[in-house]
Amino acid sequence: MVSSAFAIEQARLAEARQLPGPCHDDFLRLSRTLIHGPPFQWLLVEAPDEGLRRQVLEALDRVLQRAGLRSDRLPLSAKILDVPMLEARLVNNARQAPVVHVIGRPGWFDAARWEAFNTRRERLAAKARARLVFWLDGEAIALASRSAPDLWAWRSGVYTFLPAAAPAAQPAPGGERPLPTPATSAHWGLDTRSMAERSRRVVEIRAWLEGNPEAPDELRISLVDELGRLLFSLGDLDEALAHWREVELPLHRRLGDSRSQAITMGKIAGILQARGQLDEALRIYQEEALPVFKRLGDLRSKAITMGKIADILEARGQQHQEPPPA
Amino acid sequence: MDYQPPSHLLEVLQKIEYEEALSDQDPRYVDSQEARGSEKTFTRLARKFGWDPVSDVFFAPYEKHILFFGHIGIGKTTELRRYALQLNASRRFYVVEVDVLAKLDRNNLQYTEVLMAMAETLLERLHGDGFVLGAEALEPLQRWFGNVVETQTTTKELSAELKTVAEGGGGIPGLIKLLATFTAAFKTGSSQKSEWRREIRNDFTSLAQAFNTLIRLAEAQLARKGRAEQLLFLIDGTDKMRGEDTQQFFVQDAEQLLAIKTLVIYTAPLHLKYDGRLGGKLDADIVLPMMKLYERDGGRFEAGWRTMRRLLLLRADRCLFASDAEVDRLVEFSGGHPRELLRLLKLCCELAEDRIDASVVQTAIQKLAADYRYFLKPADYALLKTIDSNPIDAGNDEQAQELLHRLALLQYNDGTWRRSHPVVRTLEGYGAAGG
Repeated sequence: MVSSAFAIEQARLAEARQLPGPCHDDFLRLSRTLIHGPPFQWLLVEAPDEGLRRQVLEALDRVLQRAGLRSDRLPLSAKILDVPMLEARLVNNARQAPVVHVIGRPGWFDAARWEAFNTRRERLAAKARARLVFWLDGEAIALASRSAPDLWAWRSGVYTFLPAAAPAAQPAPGGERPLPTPATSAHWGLDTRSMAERSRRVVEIRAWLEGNPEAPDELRISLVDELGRLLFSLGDLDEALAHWREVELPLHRRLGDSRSQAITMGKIAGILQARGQLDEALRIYQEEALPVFKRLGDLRSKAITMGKIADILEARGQQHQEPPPA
Repeated sequence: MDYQPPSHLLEVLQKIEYEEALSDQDPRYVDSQEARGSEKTFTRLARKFGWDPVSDVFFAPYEKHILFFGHIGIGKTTELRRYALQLNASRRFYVVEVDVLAKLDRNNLQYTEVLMAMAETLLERLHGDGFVLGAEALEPLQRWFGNVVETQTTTKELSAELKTVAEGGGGIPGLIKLLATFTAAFKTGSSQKSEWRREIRNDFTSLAQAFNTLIRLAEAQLARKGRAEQLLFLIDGTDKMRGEDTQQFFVQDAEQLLAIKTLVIYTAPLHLKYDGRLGGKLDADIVLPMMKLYERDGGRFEAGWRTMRRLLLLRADRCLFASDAEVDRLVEFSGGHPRELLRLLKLCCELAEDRIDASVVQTAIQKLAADYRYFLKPADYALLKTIDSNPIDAGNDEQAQELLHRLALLQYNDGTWRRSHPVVRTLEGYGAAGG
């Protein structure tokens, strides 16, 4: 079943965030043109690492599925003897699916084959009306640009998926990468960043946290906090819940910050409440959050929490239950 | 209803198709003559065919075969369609557009099948427009086919109906059907392809004479009806043949093309003009220039900016851009090349959330530049830098031709000066090159 435009967008962003940092932006570009671009496109993807290519392909197919676009795979195996055979297979596959992934094998495309492919482009555009995604290495793409200039001029885009830099390539200890600086709007009030910017920021923060596991908690906490809020604002509730429970809450505990613990518990309860797990949400508000705000004399937070409790009681039809003692 | 450009990024994205040549009626068509500095291109072309569009003086040459050069993707087909309309409207010419893509296999194309496609398209046009030709016009071609059909192997492929045509029956529709059988076989790579090519080559003189007879008598009929005085064939797609086929077609087989005594325009790849092998047989003067944004001395060429802005804003509504500055920056980095402008626009649509702002444009420029990194070598950057420092000193060696062909080097004003693609100048390789 085709999802709503919003759900597709959410899925696109969520899948992009699961990929290594350098893949985020090109995944968003590629998935957008596949979903929203014209029916015939010739797209080139540089993805030399087999594991990463598989990961990106699977993520892409999940998004395409949500958009109602079936995809087919055509490996350039030894069974495809020449370009005419490839053309015939492409035409055939394009009849079955609107997206055809052609999985390149190093060396399959030489200059002569690109040249032969070049002269078939009009026929392909007429008969293989699909998004033809060619997964190749950089060398094959460079050869295409030289040996198939007319086809190259028709390329709908070139996308690159390279693994994140190996740890050895990371800055040496003492020369750590700079801490990602949050935008002011991310800290206070409404987050005005676009969905893609927020998604990109998630990847950036995750990469930094993974690359700096020994960073002091005081340094990590603001990023951890921003990450949770970003995941929530992107609608990735499972990820946000797991992040708050497994990462942020333990960090606040280690730092002895009971107010932040209570706020985080409130956020967790908010998701549970939205999901209909009212008993557990009520328990958290009443037993874990409210007492802390009372103890700290934080009237605003206390009032908000009591309001949440009242919402749950109302939803359960317990409008006349005695409110918790102030 | 008036055309409205798309006002949503995803709608813009959906409608960007590089393989699509705009028809002359398309609301996105923009007259680019002033921007190209090519106001005289059509006049020059028409005069070569003996017609002065200004004074309507007409005295056609007996034959003229003109190559029409231009960069890939700058709108040759679109422009030629406009020219065809004007030439047709003059009632001096009866323009026959031969769609090589639809009729033939561009992967392996020779003059033999182009000739067949020309004859087939001519007869289709005449028949479609209600012109009737007498037996004396068709008989030579039918006789030629009759001789070919007599050979044992080719006969096997032809139905009894077509054999009847080859023996002189069926009129124009029959002959169209017979020619279509040949062109279809040429297109699909039938086993008869080589054999028929050999037959045509072996008896080309007779075939050319038969075709010339058809042309002369068709022209006489058109003149009698007051429709036109000369036939003019427009062969589009011959600029995109395989490298070796291009040489074979325009260089080795030029004499065979010239044996057809008529007026013809062939689209041709720009690099062919400069590789020195054409030998002056075919008329190789006309180049469709790029739209230019700057003059050679660096001064702005406002007509170019106006046209490119208009072209962009017919593809994407102005409301999608944060300001005019983004529109201008995209135009500037296209170098005046329409397809490169569309490519930048597509990148913006892939990158932007809801509006195209300065940072989206900057990323789009970087992404397009990265495509050029795939094939540019250090020596290419050095040559580009040298040309940029002295645009007239372009050189026509193989390296410069390759750069022209791949758009890293752009040519303006009928080739009088060249400049590197603006996105290429943003690459570190260019910055580091000596030049």
